[in-house]
Order: sequence, then C-alpha cells, then structure tokens
Amino acid sequence: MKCDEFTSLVEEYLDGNLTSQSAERVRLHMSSCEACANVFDELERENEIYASYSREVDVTPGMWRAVRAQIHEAEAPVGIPALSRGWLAGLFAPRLRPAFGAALAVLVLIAGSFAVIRYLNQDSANDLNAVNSAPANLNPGKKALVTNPPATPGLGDVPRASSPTVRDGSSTALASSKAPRTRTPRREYPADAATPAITAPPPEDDVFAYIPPTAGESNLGIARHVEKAEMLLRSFRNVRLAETSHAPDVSYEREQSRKLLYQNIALRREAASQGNESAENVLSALEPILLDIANLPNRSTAREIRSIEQRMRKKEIVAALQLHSLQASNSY
Amino acid sequence: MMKRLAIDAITQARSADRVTGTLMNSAADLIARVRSGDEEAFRLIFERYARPIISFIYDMVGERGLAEELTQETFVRAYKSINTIRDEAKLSTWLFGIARNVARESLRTRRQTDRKVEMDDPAVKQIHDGRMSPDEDLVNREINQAMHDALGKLDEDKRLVFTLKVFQQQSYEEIAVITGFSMSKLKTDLHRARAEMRRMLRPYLEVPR
Repeated sequence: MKCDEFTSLVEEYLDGNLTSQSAERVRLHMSSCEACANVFDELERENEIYASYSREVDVTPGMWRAVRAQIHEAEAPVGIPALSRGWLAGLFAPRLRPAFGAALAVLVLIAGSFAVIRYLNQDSANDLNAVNSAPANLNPGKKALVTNPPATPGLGDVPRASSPTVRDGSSTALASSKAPRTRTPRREYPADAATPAITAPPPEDDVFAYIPPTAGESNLGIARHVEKAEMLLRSFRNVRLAETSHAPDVSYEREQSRKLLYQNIALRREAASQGNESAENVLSALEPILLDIANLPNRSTAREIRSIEQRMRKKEIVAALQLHSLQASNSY
Repeated sequence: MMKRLAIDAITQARSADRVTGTLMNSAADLIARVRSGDEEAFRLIFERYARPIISFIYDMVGERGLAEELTQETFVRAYKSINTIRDEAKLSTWLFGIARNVARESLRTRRQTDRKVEMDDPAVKQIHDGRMSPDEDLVNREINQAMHDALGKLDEDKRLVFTLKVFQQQSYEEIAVITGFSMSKLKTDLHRARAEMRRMLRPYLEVPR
C-alpha cells in the first residue's frame, strides 16, 4: 500500500467502515511507515478531543411536559382547557374511543328520553285543562295522567317552547328529579310574558319534571368540593415538607387533583350561571393549582413541587378555601 | 486510549441498547403501543432519544434555548407522524431525520452566514450553575468553546455529516438515510469537515511526544 492510498483510507479505518482485508492492509502499512503512523496518531487525538466535547445542554422534565401538552393540544376536542387534557385526553385515546363513544350515546339517549317524557307530560297537563274547560275539543287519543289536576291558574297558557326541559340540552338534564321541588329560575331561559311566576311549583304529579339544583344544593356541592380540595392541598404541602433525598412521591395527590379538577370546572360553570360570585371566584383561584398538581410528572423534582407550593402560598389558596367552608357552614 | 475507551463505550452502549431492545421495550413494541394510544410508550421513546437528539440539534443551531424548542418540535412531529415510519427497527434514524429537518428549517429562517452571533451564546460562556472551576475545567471549557466555534464555521452540509458521524456515531448507511446524501457526497463532506475542524482546532490537537 502506498501512502496516498493509506491517507485516503485511514479515516474510514478509524470509522470501522473498511472490510477486514482493507483494514489489515492499512495496519500493515502503518507498522512500516512512521509518517503514516503519525497521521494515524493525530486522527486518534482528534477523536479523543471530540469524544470529550461537553455541550452543557440537557433534557429537563419541563421538556417532556411541553411535548405532552403540545400533543394533547393538537388531539383533544375543542373547548377543553389545554392543560387538563393530560388525563382527560386519555378518554379520547384511540383504545378508549369506542367505549367512550358508546357511553356518550347512552347519556344522550337518557337525556333525550327525559326531554320527551317531560314534553309529553306538559302536553297532557294542557289537555287536562282543556278537558275541564272545553270537553268537546279534547283529543280522545290522549290519556290524562291524573283525574284531579290542581287548580293552578294559567298552567294551560304555558307555551311548550318555554319548557326548560325541552330546551335544555345541557348535561344537567340528568339531574335527579325524585320529587317535585321548588323550581329555581335559570338565567339562560328567556322571559316569557305568558309564563306564570317561574318560582311556581310544578304539578304535584309531575314526577318526571326536571328540577335544576337549587342555589342551596349547589352551595352544598361546592362546599363539599372545597373541603376536599383543601384537604388535598394540605396533603400536597405536607409531601414537600416530608421529602427526603429521593424524588418525593406525589402520585396520590396527582390522582386526587385530576378527579377534583373535572368537578371544579363543572361547579365553577354552575356557580357562574347562578350568579354565585364568591363561589365562582374561589373555584377560579383553585383551578390552576389543581391543573399544576394534576400535570406533575411521575418523578417530580423537589423544585417542581416547591414551585407549586409557592404559588399556593402567594394566592393564599388554602386560607381562601377555609374561609369559604366557614361561610358555607354558617349559612346552613 | 481515551478515544478508544469512549468509542468502545458508545459502541457497547448501542449494542446493549439493541440487545435490551430485543428483550424488552423494543422500538417496534414501543411504536405499536404509541399507535394504540399509549402515552407512556411515547414517554419512553422520548427518554431514550431526547438526549442525543438535543445534542445533535444543538450542534446544528448553536443555541441552547433554541435547541430545546426544536427538540420538543421534533418529538411532537414524531408523535403526529408515528404512523408513517416504515421500518420500526430504524426508529433512531427516523427521529434523527425529523430532527435534521427541524434544524434545517430553523437555520433557513435565520441568517445563513457565519454563526459568530450564536457563538456569543452566554449559556456557553458562563460557568455552569455558578460553580468555580479548577484549572482543568477551565482548559476543558476553552476546548469546548473552540469546538463550538469551529462547528459553527462549517457549512450546513459538512456540519450535519460531521455531527452525525463523529458525535452521534451513526453509520455511513444511517447518515445516508437521515440526510438523503449519496455515499460519495457523504464521504467527501466528512473528509473535508474533518480537515477544516483539524485546521481550526490545531492548537488543541498537538500529539504529546
């Protein structure tokens, strides 16, 4: 082998890219040519320098969270807060889509059934009033649900279109309606001059009437939720205080936070629709903290946990939750 | 000697990774799980490849913050296009291909001239975490800085091939797939890149006698 050929092959020899035959020829030439042996030594020295190169870049836990957030941002349904999609989006994962779709279809069916039954009962009530006042106009095909309707003035004048159940497409249509209760006015329904006082009780026999939660019932639900959230945040704070040299385990707090987060969103919207400002404010303050805890990685660092705890302290969220619980208990 | 140990370690790690991959969490298994919606599987992919990817991208663009962003972009694109990978065993090559495109797009939106502006990256010059360094560390930092500067002076194709071969230890065939270059262009660019780096790093390359 000549030196020119050696020079053209030595780099590939170092890269391990030569056949065994060519590699052997390179080795033989080096052993007999000092100049080429020096060239080889220089290249080895180069590779040592390159192998020692330190870039001072590293993969941080925040990078994975950012990737995860961007992935879920792209694939989650519109309208769901981006940061809550970490586990919520799991519901929409391909393997769960059929099950989730089936569950959704069942819920829609139930909601629709309630709406139809409500509509039919309203219709029957109107027919009963028509029977009492003008028997000749009654549709003989319609059966009366009751024989002694209450003498509630104006019920026959209630336009069907204003029935909350017929219009209500929200998930609250599934709310329990065990017994007739005082109906609370709902903001989203338009005022109707022909509608009787909207606080009037429904017919006593209207057992299928949808009754939205009263303000008192909502407050009770919020109070219970706030209590659970306060316990969770205290537990989370104690995790940080009890940390040892290894990464603290916050898996329990993370799971609880995810459950409370979904409930928080629903309650906050309900509070807003009912004009319950104080509840809405405390739930709005709580929500980002629940999001942060819910989005902690499996192996959280002390720094990440400390950061959330600092935000909790700055917002004085635990005190706000305590105050809300106190006010709620005083009102009962 | 150090070079042999380092290269042997890298080769063994890659072999071990291949062996480990066949025993558990192989690339094909992970990809299948990701396709069925298993987020944990994608997190494993991220943990396995994020470090070499960010190193590669940093070598290409020269800025730490930008390298982090582009690494995230790489994995987001990988997730979205996971169904397009043809050979599951070549996951590393596929990821580097995406990283290469992401880095190239970033470079094209910036000035294509000498990277002297990026060489002033304070993240490179500062003492990491505020620690005081002994003389040995000062020398190493000087070499690191020189290497960083020298890389920046290579043109994009040479930098790409050099980084993939020398730093990422990819084979010629893998580099050809990642870059789309012919074998002859690849070898020529690599040879020229080494010559230029040698010239720029000459003060640090004197063979001790």
